[in-house]
Amino acid sequence: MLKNIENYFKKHKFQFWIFNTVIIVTLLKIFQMIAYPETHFSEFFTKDNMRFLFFGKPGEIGGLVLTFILAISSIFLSFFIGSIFGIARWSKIKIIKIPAIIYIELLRATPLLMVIFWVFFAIPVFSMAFFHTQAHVSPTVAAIIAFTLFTSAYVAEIVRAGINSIPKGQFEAAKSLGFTSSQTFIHIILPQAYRKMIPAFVSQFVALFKDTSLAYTIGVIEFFRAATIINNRLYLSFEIFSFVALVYFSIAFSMSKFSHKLEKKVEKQLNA
Amino acid sequence: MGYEFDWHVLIEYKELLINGLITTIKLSALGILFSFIIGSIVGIGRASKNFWISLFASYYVESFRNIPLIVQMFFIYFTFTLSQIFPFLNSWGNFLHINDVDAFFSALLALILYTGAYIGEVVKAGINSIPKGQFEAAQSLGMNRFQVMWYIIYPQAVRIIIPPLTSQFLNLIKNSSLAMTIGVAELTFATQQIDAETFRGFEAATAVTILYIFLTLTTSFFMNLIEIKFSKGVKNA
Amino acid sequence: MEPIIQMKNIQKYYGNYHALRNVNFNVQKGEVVVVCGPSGSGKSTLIRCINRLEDIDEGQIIVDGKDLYDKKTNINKLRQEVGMVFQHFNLFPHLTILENITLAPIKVKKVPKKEAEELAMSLLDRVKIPHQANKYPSELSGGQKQRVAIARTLAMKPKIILFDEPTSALDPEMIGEVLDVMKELARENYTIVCVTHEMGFAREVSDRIVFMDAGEIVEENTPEEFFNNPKTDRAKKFLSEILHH
Repeated sequence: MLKNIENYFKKHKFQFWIFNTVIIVTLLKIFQMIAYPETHFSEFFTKDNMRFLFFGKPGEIGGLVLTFILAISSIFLSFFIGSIFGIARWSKIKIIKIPAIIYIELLRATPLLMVIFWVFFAIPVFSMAFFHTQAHVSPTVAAIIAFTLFTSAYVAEIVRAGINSIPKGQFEAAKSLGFTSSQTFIHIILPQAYRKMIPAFVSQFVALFKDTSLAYTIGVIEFFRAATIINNRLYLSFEIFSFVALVYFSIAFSMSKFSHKLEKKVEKQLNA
Repeated sequence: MGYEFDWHVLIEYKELLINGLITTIKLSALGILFSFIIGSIVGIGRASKNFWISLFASYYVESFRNIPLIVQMFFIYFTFTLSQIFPFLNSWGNFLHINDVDAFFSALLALILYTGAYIGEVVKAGINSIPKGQFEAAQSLGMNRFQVMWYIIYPQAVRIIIPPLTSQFLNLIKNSSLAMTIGVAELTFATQQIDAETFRGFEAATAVTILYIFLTLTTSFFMNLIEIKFSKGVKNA
Repeated sequence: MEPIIQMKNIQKYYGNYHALRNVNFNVQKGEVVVVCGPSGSGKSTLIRCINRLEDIDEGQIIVDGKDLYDKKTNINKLRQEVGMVFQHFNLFPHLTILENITLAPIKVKKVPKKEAEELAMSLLDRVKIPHQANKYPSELSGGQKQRVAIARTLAMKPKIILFDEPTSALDPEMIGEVLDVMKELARENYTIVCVTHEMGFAREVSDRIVFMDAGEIVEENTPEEFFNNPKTDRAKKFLSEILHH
């Protein structure tokens, strides 16, 4: 009988997800009843609070919208920077390879929080050192720079692995047809490699999306910081942070599932 | 150069830095140990042929992987007073010379749950990579499922997963920096403290980054040693 | 005497593929049965059902008087009585040869360590590789590994031994040493069901040959009758292909 339930759910994916949601909601409800019997969700779910959480202060960009802006701009910029370092890392030429290795390994060994602080502290220092003025950037810009630097190191590794996964025969065929190195890369290698890297990129984006919450520490009023601001006023941490967790979970989880589907599609294409 | 570097700050504040380092090490060591245990249990559950065990294990993995670690830390720290719910934490805190028991253990718990979810996936992959024949040979000798897992499958899987496992341990060390947001006086907290008092955040951040690199390199090195010691016998039989 | 293995009206599917069709198969205690047939005929599937490494969809299997699918039957206990030797050996790579052989007796049968080790050494003697006891499987040749696998199975003192193409993965010069061990076992009290392509072995020691094709048992007979006087066309075709290689 149990085997039949398993087979049923394999065939009816939609019912499976309904079933999962029901069980999880039940488990969460039981947890809530034990851990925190008196909830005050209604105090939290006001129009103003929700607007602040999702859109920020009126007149400014903040909240979840800002979270997305941070994540999207950073992944976009780090795509380019990371690709350059990734190709450099892959290269056999020592002058190109070694600086790339240093850049990548340094950033990968450092906690993201430290990178954020370091960028935040470094901007006035470097501007003073090189331009003799004390530059002040908005926390949001500093955050984007920090996220971009950090993510570019991971993107570089993805790019290097992607290029490595292209069979040597492709390079050899291109060479024997008379392509130069850069032509080989642009027309033959990179198009194939980038297709393979798509799942890894999406997964990196999901991680970055979650990490935007760290911008909280330098004052960026994105989704998480907005929640902490509300909590400082209302002191309803159970209600507020469980809602925050739910929102992050829903978005991150859907993106992961989407990435799985993409991965299967790409696999089909490449093995055709 | 327009900016005057003042590295002496670091010597003035060396106690803050050293205490921060020690706290980071405490968080990391305990975190690595317990997340490995939880991750192994969850991973074995995920790899299980039993539909329900595997399903509930995946509930755990998906929940804790998709919620940012900082949100988990805040949720635990601000909603619950761990030292009241679990009084034994006070004596543990004394033993480990921890000042803010609530903050430390909230951060530690979140670290363990979060990293445990990732380690669960690593362990699952390791178990699934063991050839089916190992399972069959053990079963055909009359071993029950627990014996098969404990004596044959899991020991082999652990050896195979040492590289991705190391990666997760390094992530934990880096993620311990988030504990500063709920007030744990670890390394990253020290950076901010020094900057607040001396405006020499840049120097502090540089020093702390070097310390983190030191921690991650040491851990990588030890895991490499472990891998070499256990590499006997992983070849095909 | 009730046969020690009884398989009645077995049906097995892999999805839509009908792997075993209406199989009825009995083995008497002490009998040596060889199962042969072309690839995909279901012969491996058949013997893997005997120790429930595969499950059937319809039918009944009774081993040593116990119904495999009765809820009261302790399958792990039953598997102690049914040993299996695999095509790809499946030795435990993280344990020494000696540990490979003693692990199950110690943990499953609760035999004291010293006794288990003595038994293991005597079995290694028997398969002629006692000096390999403290080596790891990766250090042995294919033929040696398979002999260890047989010793590991014998350490549990089973009543029945199943062989799933035990020599198919071996280099030709090592097949003989494994077949020699199997021939000795065949002459003793063990009930043996062996899936193999080694027709010389089959002719020499088996009591009965079972020929399978496309999931069915097509012909069963004594070795002399089967090889000299095959009754069905499919058996004739199979024999002509195998013997004229």
